[in-house]
Amino acid sequence: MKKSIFTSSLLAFIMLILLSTFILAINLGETIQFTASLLWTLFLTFIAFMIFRTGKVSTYRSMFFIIYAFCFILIFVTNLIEERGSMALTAEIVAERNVPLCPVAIPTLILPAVFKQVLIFPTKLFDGPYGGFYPILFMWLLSVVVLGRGWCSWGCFYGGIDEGFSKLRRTSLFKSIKMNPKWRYLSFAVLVTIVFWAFLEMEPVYCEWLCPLKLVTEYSEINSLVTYLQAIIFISLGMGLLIILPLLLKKRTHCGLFCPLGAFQSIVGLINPYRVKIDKTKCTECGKCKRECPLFVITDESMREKSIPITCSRCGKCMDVCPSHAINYSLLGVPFSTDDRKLSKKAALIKPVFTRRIAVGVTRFVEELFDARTMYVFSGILFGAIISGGMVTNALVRIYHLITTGSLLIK
Amino acid sequence: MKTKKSILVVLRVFLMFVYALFLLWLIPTFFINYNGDWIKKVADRIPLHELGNDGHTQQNEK
Repeated sequence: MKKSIFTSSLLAFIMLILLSTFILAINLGETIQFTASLLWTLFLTFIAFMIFRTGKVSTYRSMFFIIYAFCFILIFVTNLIEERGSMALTAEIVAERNVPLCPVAIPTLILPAVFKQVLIFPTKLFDGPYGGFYPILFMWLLSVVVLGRGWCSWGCFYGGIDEGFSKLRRTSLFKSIKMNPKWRYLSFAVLVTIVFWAFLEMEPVYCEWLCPLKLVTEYSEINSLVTYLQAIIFISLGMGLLIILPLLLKKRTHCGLFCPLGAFQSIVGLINPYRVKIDKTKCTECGKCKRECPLFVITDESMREKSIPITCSRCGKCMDVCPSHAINYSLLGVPFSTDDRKLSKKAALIKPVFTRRIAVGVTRFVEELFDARTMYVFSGILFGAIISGGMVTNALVRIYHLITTGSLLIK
Repeated sequence: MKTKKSILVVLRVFLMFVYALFLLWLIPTFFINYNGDWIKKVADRIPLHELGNDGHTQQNEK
């Protein structure tokens, strides 16, 4: 699964060119801004190179993903404080529809949009914060087509929060406790509940009552018993699902058990042609993938059947830890095999030495470049890199500002 | 029969990789036009309105 140094360098170089267009070119103005974007571009190019060269998808992906999430919190909260003076969402801001659309709320907007033709989230259709409803909606649709549920491990700016906390301890405190696999359906239950509840109330009820991510974003101004209750709920859920449980269990508890967008993405993401598959001939049922899967996706049953459920976020952890390299990305319609050197092995049988060398080199290169793993990982890094570009650059500038002036606020 | 089946497999593999490449191409193309005219053109055809504070819909100002 490792790529040759030539293929890895070529892929990293193409990534560098693309990121120069999307991250560097838009930050040419100020020196600090440009330096910050250059650092992030080079870091992402390094991540791309290392994933292809070492074959360790999850190890390097999580470095990018965790930094991205914490930079998002930093810029989002400091922006709110600069613009509004606090993280609280006042009635005036809601009336002005000046709230950035959160992708997690998207499933709850569908029924009111289809049956009543109204947008119940208090954001502008266009030209709102971070682009408004339509640009963010189309970005999410793109993520569905390109990444499927992989959004949760390559594109989502919240995913790295519980992933970050789940990485802090070396081992899980509750190794021996067996979790009932039915808990995996909790996120689907949350999804169904909030979709119908939002339709009945004609309000984004998940954002008002249940969202654990309020802890790191914006929340209703606490000025009544109801908003006080809402705050208690989101603080408890946020502390529990984003910090305490990931720390204790070494799992992404929010993404795996609660996030309704994750559940929705599992269903609509089926239109994406990529899957993660287990090679039945190589799997020894050692159970390592099940123990290490951060989203509780692999169970005893799925391991017996040697199939990966639709809730897989394609983070690559199982591929990294599998001792027999039996798990890999696959493309629907293309026969799956973890043996990625079939053609070049055939080419190695060619008799004339010179022809053989050329044939082996060319076939190996083509195999490496056009396999499902390369294509999916490249799409994942590119998608995440473009969305994260502006956020991380801004965060680095703010950190520089903190060091030089003592404040994260620029305005 | 076997040859015909092989051709179909090769064709299917080729088409899937063309689709994969298309997805890869879609990412930069979308972000170049993020918040751009084509989104507005598509959105114009969608009869969606912002829900005002009073519970009534408001026509979006584009």
